[in-house]
Amino acid sequence: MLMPKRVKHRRVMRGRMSGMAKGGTTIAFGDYGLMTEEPAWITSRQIESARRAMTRYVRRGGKIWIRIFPDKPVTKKPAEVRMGSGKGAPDHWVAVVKPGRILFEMAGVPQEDAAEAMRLASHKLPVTVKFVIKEGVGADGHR
Amino acid sequence: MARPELIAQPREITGKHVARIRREGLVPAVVYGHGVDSESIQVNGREFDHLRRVAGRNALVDLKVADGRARPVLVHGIQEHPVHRSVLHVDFFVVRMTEELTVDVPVVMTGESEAVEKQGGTLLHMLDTIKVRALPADLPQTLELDISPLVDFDSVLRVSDVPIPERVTLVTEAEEPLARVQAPRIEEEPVVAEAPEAEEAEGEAEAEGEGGAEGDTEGSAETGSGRGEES
Repeated sequence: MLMPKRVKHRRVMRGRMSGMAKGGTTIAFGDYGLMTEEPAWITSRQIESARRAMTRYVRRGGKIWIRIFPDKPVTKKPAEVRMGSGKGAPDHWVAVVKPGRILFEMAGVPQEDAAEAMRLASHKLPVTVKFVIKEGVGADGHR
Repeated sequence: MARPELIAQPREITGKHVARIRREGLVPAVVYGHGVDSESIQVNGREFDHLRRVAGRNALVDLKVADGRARPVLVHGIQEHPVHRSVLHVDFFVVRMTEELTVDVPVVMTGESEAVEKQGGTLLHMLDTIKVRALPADLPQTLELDISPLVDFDSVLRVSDVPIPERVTLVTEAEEPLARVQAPRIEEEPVVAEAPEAEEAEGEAEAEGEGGAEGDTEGSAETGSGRGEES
């Protein structure tokens, strides 16, 4: 699963998720993309699960890009522990996404295959998403 | 060929109040140029969308503000809503027909690649556009690149392989790769190398037990996560 190799601070504050995505809102590498319509924390497990769903559907051929990276640590206190005694231990990693952010991209497959693969991937994600196509790409996947 | 025409009105409303203009179906815009004072204008959203579809990316457009004379302009920049993709603002650049311009021209792939058609590879576009310099009248709308030389997974087409028309100068580095074919994946590889656990470069290294951040160790095979990540 995706996670940073090393971090400067092992625990970070939660932050806010107001507004729209500021970058990563256009399809940069592939022909098709999956765009989030909601703000959310997407865990590395969800990213991996969505990636697998897509890879499994398109089988051979095609290329997939993951456009988000879970670089935010989320901490958790152990079960049945009283409050206090400091912040919990890092538990998992999340990517903070805001509306408009492209989560995945795909190339080298027909449009209907890409749409179906991304529909399957969308069921693994905690957000409503939209299938987007790069300008100038035809239904056969050629520019 | 006659240039497409776009009618605009001068705009008094600026700043956050332009949201009102957008609600009326108009698009706030600005027109500027070399030696030309910038001017706030507004155009009809539907007319602009139609123009974008019909004229193309680098087409010269005759922009008429109110009853003034038409000026040749290029669409220099478009701001879009990140979710709805509606046009929020447009920059028009007034061109001088005797002054050279540098613009990004889209590259259109033609022909068939053996590596894609017969060997099942995936055509990867490293660049979508090429920067060229030319007089406004000589600006190409698109540049065509024949991908038939891509016969195997090692061959690469570079910017220098694109036929550049006369009176047009290439600005992008000629050796920059433009297209290649990636070999097909055989099957999903179940396990790749274990991702090292996050180390901390934090000053005080307490002997606190780090339970989390391990999980399962199946990596991301055959995805371009590294390259795809934007900062």
